Formats: sequence, structure tokens, C-alpha cells
Amino acid sequence: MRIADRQLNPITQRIAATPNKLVDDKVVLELLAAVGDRAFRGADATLSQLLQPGLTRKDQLEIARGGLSRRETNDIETILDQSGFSFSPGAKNFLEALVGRATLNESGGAGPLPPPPSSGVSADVSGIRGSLEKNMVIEAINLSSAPALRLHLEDTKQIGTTDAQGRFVLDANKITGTDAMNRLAAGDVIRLRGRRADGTATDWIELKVGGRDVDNAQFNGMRLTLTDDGRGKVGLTHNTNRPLTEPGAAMRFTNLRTGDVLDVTANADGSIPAGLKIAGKSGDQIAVSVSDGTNNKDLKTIATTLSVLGQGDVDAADDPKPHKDETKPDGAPMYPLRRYTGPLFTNGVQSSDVRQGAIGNCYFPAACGAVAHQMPKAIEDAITETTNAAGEREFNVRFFSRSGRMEMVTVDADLYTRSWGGPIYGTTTGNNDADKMELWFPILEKAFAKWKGSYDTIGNGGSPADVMTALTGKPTTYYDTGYTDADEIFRAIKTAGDKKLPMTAGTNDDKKLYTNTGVYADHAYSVLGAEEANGKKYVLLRNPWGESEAGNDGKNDGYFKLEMSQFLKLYGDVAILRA
Amino acid sequence: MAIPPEPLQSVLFDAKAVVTGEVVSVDATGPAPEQRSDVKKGMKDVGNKAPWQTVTLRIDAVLSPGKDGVVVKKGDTIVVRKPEGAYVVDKGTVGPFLLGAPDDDGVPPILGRYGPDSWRLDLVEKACKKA
Repeated sequence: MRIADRQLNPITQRIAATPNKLVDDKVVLELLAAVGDRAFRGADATLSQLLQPGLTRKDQLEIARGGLSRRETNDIETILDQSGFSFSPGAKNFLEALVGRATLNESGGAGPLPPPPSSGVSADVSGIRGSLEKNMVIEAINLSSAPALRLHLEDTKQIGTTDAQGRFVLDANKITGTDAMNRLAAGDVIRLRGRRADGTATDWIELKVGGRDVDNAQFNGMRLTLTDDGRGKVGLTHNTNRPLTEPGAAMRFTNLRTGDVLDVTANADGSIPAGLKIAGKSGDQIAVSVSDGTNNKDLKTIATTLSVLGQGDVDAADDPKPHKDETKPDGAPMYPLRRYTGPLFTNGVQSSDVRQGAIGNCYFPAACGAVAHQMPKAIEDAITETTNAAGEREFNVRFFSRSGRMEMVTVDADLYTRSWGGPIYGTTTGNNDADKMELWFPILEKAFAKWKGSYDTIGNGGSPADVMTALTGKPTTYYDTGYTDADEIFRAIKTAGDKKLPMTAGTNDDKKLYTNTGVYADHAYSVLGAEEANGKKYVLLRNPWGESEAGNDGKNDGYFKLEMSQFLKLYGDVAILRA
Repeated sequence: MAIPPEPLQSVLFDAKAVVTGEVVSVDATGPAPEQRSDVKKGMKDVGNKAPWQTVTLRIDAVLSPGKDGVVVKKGDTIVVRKPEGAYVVDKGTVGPFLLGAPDDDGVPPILGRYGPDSWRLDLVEKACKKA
């Protein structure tokens, strides 16, 4: 923006340097004084004249017009059209009237403003102001911040009311903070409407918050699913009716393997057009960058990277079927398989590696965690990584049947996965990226599911003792805490810990007993050992969720210890592997 | 059913209010849901559910203000519903309560697979401040 007039120029520079770049009635008087000056009367004197009591806006306009040159007219038009400044309604009307574009509204910002709501409402970081109809409730949503929140575009917030003249001035501090109007930042797109007493509403008005826009459009990767169509293309599906990004945002999808690029403009509801495709296949990584038109214009900054799911290079024929909760009515999996390429083991096998997924098989990770803690080599020896004839990575997993017979199960590293959020079932603590996640636990779980039939077969409860036997080939001893002497149980746990024998413990189904204890009903835990301290006996435990424990040691990693009396109250049984 | 709690952030998005409080009375309890008959000794993660309960909750602090018809104020008592599920509440049960959209009777449900034991209070407080 080039301002030629030497009086106007510093004023516009000062406005541009303010956070919200607001031109209100006070600022507009300075502009009027700058253009109203003459050879015999400077801007300061003109400003004094403009501020004289009793002057109407019409009088002020005449004073300004008296000194207005052609060059200054051009400058005012430049300010109106190219500055990016925010104008209060009164200020804008005054400047437009000055250059002959509009009729002066003589009551100014304090009076009734022109009726079209789209031009009668403005926003900056200090608030939203303008005019609608009288006595309306104003509803609004910040479309720029909505993608990051669990909001539909209709989830508006009531931010205020218009007065008897239809005017409203809403302070940003009072209308922001939560939900649909969690903020009012420069550049944000606000959707607003007025609701009448009879329940009807005006059309939506969209306005941009004035000021220097430094926040780029947001993008919510959880709401996009990328699927291999099997024909060399990847389909982009907006998987919810909540917005993906800011309306009108420019989006670029780049296949990081092939370099293919797809440029898309977001719809008015923050969605993407249906049927979009980009060249690629399952396993590809697609980088997404967005721009609100002001920030990240070159789309070089990547908002997120998403994985392409699908059957393109995954042989699903030999994979265990998912749990019924993740199966469509026609029997097809709700989530596709994805190939994982991370290491089988990272720093060996540890109980902390194990994390139960969203499936009812706590007995399995509890047993795996117990074996990992006491006999990590048993797990390392149970899984052998090989390469098949097609050159693909496979894992031969050994289990022992109840009769002690060894049985081998071969699986690959394809796991049921969401585009965003990683595998659905068991994972390993830490990085769950497809090329980084440590694989031993999800591979073991997959092989167990295949051995037993499916994830549904193993996902509706089971016995941790049976799993310890399946992993080691050894039987277990079962202790019912209701029928066994407390000292005997403590001794058995202590001795087993010293001998490095895996142990598990299970809670009862009397749910009332567990409320507020940090221990959960109908759940299996890894028992890591027992100890005595300060004359008290403790049992050391781990929740296979990898979080949620009794007490609060500040870690929330699933590890905790319980005094023996509390352990006996909450746990109904203990299973210990025999030597 | 001992499946891990849902991700806090996803449930928080559905919450109409987040409070800390204490159950001061259990006002009603639903019929016992059908229990599995194929449970063997030592079996865990069976998935039997506890009945729904209607309880009166005293609000000790408001972590995220109410919206969409859920009115919460420190010191107030409100009636909430514990759905059928993996836990029960009793008089004296405390913790963070994430309350969902009220049902047809205007009673908001307690969200989270384990209700007030789903997530630690400090994590809920932190998430509410961030939201």
C-alpha cells in the first residue's frame, strides 16, 4: 500500500503497527484532520476544529472536504481498499462519504447504521460490533478454530444481544473463552447471525477479524481417511461432518513417495469436495499443508502427515478377522490393515512395552507383561523373524497347547489401523508410527488371535494363566485369595519373584469394591514381585493399559504397589508359573 | 469389561460440563443387565455390565462451564445418570465428572468408560485448561 500524502502516511504506518489495525471514530478524525489541512491551517489546527463542541458529522465532513486534494482522495481510497485495516462502521461510512462512495450517516457510530448486516458488522481482536435488527440474540462460531474442536458449524455460542436500535458492541473478553467462540484472533473467520424472539434467524454473516493475521488455518487430520483404491489412486474421504479446516482455506496434499501433488480449496463448511483422489498406494505418506491466504501462502509448512490405508499391498486373506465391534454388518472390517515396518525388538523385551488396545483381552497383555518382566528371553525365543518367498517380512510365533505341544503360527506385520491414531488393538509404549513402533507385542497378539481364530475370539475375556502357559509351555499354580492364607500368598509371590517366574493377578467382578481405588474390576494385572518395607508387605503390580494405577506417583505408567491387606481385598486370584 | 478408558480428549469434546464433585445419594438403580453364563474360573475381561444409576452429585468445583442445558455451579447439587457399564458409583464417590448432553428427562449422563475413575483429576484439569 502506497500513501502519497505526507500527513496521512505516518498515521497509516502507526495504524498498521497496532495489533488489530483498527480504524475507529477517534482514528478517523486524525485522518480527516490530515486531509482537511490547508496551506494556512495545519493538521493539528484542523483536528482542533473538528473536535469543537456542537459540530455534527456533516460539519466535520465539510471541514475535511474543504482541504481534500485529488491525491488525498486517492490515498483514502487506497486505505479503504488495500490497507487490510479494520474499520468501525461509523469510521468506514465517514471515509466512504468523504470520497463520494456513500451517503454520510449523520448519526455516526452511535446511531442507526445501514441495514445490510454483512456490511454492518465488524470484528477485531477487541470485540465484535455492528447492527442487526432490534432485540435479537446473537449467535456466533469461530470457523477458524472450529477444526481443532469437536464442533459442527451449527454449534454456535450465544454471545450477546442487540439493543432497541439493533446495535451491539461485544467485548472480546466477555464473549470468548470456551467452545464455539474460544478466541477472537486477527484473521479468524467468524460466522454470526441474529435470532429473533420468534425463533427465526437472519442469514449467516461471515466476517474476518481485523488485524495482523499471524495464525494459519488449522487442519484436523483425524477427520480425513486416505484409502488405497487398488487402482493406483488414493481416495480422500472427509469422515465426519465436522470441519476439516477453515472455510476457503487452500490445501495441498503431497505424496511423499511419488511427489504427486493435489491442490484443493476447502468448501464453505470447511470440508473438501467429494471424490478427490491423488496418485498413490497403501503405505504411502501424504503430507498436508494449508493456507488461510495470508499465512503459509507457499504451502511449504506441513500441517500433518497421514498414512494411506488399504488392501493395495496387504494380503488380508490370511489375517485374523477383527473383533465384532470393528466389523461392518456385511462382515467386512471397519478399519483397513496397514503394514508396520518397525523393529521387532527395541532394547529387548520389557513389561513397559506392553499396551492393551481397545479390545477386551486384558488377560493377554497382563500375561505378556508378566512374562516380559521375568522371562524376556521366552518371548524373544517365541518369535522368529523371516522373509518369505515373495521377499516379505514374516514372523513365526511359537505357542504351546495345553497338552504341551508346540504350535507355530505365521503372521505378517499388517495391523488394523486408523488413518490417524495408529493400531486399534495392542500396541507398544512409545512411538506408534508405522516405521518405528516396536513390534513384538502386537505381533504376538496377532499370532494369538490367528491361533485362536480371530480378534473376536480373544477379545471377550480369557485367562492370563492360560496365556502364560501358551507362551512358556509350563503350567501355573492358582491361588484364590479368599481361601488362601495371606502369608502364604505373600511368600509365594516373593519366592516366585526371586525365581523369576511370571505372575498375574485378577480382580473380581464386584464393581462397587473398586470405585475410587485406582484398581479396576474384572481386570487382569501383571504381578512383578513383592517386597517388605517399614514392616509392611507390598505387592508390585502393573496395569496392562500402561496407565491408570492406584496412588499417584506422578508417572501414570501403570506401575504401582499395594499393601498386602489392600491387595487381598481387591484381588481375587493370583496365578504363578511353575518352575 | 476392562478395556482402557477412551482418550480423554475425545470424551472431553462431547462433555457439556466438567466438574469435580461427590455423589451424595444414589436415588435409583436400574435392573441388572444380563450376565454371561460362560465364565470360567480365572477368566478376566468378561465384560458384564453394572446397572444404570441415577445419583445426586454435589459440585465442588467447575472445571469447564455448563452449556446446552447443563447448568453447573459450585455448591449446587444436580441429578446425573450413571449409564450401564463397567463401574458403579456410591454415596461418597468423588472425582472429576464429565457430563454429557441431557437425556429426554433432562438428566445428563456421566461420560467415560469408568466414570470418575476414567482419568486422573490432574489430567482432566490440564485438558480443561487447554481446551
